[in-house]
Amino acid sequence: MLNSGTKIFKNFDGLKVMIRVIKALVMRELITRYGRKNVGFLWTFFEPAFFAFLVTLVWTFIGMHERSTFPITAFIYIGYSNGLLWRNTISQCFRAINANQGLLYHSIVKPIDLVISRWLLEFLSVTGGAIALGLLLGGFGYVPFPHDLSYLLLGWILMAWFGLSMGLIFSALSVLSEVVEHFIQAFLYIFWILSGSLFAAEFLPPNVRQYFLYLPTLHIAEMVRYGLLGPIMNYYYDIFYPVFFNLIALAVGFSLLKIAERKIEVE
Amino acid sequence: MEKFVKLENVSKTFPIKGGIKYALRNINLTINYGDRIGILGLNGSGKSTLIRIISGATKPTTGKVIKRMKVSWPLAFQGGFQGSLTGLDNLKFICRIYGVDWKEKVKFVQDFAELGKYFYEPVKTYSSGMRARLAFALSIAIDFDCYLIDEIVAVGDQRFQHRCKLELFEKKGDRTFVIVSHSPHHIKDFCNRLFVLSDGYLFEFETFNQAWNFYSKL
Repeated sequence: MLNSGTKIFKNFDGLKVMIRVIKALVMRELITRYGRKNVGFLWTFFEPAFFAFLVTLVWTFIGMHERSTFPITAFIYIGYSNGLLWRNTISQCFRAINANQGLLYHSIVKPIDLVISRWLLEFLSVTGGAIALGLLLGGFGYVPFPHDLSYLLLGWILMAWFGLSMGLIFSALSVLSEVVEHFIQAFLYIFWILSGSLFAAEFLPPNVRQYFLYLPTLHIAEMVRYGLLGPIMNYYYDIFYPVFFNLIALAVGFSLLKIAERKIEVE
Repeated sequence: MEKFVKLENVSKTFPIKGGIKYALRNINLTINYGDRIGILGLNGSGKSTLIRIISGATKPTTGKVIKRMKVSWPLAFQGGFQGSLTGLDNLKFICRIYGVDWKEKVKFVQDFAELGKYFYEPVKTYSSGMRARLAFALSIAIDFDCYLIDEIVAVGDQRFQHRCKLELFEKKGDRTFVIVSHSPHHIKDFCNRLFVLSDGYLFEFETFNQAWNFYSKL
């Protein structure tokens, strides 16, 4: 009885330490990454803003705005911002361990803390940027009030979870193999185009669509688009597929990190 | 609760061209609270690997490490510094991860490291001596049960070295120390448990002279 009691207390203590370490890492990273003036943070706002602006410009230029009522700016805005949740987090996380090896000399700093802190910071900055841009575009009438906030939130959380799982996997892989670092940028680039953040499943011919629906990111992107834009087109998603995918990816990520931990060599 | 660190059958291997290299071979070591452990070893004998294993920076390939006390990072280690952070930022970070209020430590670190206004400047603007002093000050600002020392390197001038010795070996003299070095300096006078690390094997000796006889014949 006493034993199990102390054990629970110990685990709770471990969690407290972990939260403390992650908080300290986030605050440290805030300064090292964004600098003291925090201007880097604005990039998560300007990148989707710039792209949405460009697409809207082309759309207007070719006269689509007269033939169609499709809310192109809102469509690009939400897909792009949501997609940054995995693209930015993966590209931040995969070097998290290699870049911060020296900190592992502090035995209470674990490799997983390095990954989670980078993920958390990126999640907060992408979310902050998305809210700010949404409010701005909303003010100008380019983005409607969300049709169904619950789908928007669910899609947001699922994409963040996807980013964390993949971030864990890639951070572990980049410890295990140097080759990974080289091909990951190419992977991110290709997957950015294919992920479904920038096109709707409905745009695809049915025989192609069925293959694209193996991508959890397409399901999630469809959810947030539905959440924001409402029933202006047919959406293709299954809530359980990305949940299922993320669960497995997270488990794979944790296991790979366990293996990688034994391989980490600190200078 | 009893305070100790225990290494059980710890081995560490590294892959090298055409095979594996043993850095540590089947190490068994119990470090009790208050021990002053001195480990002599030539370059490449596995000293730094052993310190990294005890600190937790590296995991053993096989075997396990049971830690039941608060172990420091290797004393005066500078690898955790990030150039764009100031001395104060580094202090805040260290204090935050160890759950200490940094405000209580500012004066001590600032005085001890003798950085003056550089304390508020990015570490990349520091000279190597300033970095070393900051690293040392941070190491002793946090209270540990066990301090790890990988080669006692002389930092700063005579007066600074004297203050380091005072803070560490006298004010914290009741703590646990693990010193690895290739030279007998400090180990001879200070340590009460003596070891030699050779080719990944760890040998314990009763007296310093026995250890030194063995070591000098390597």
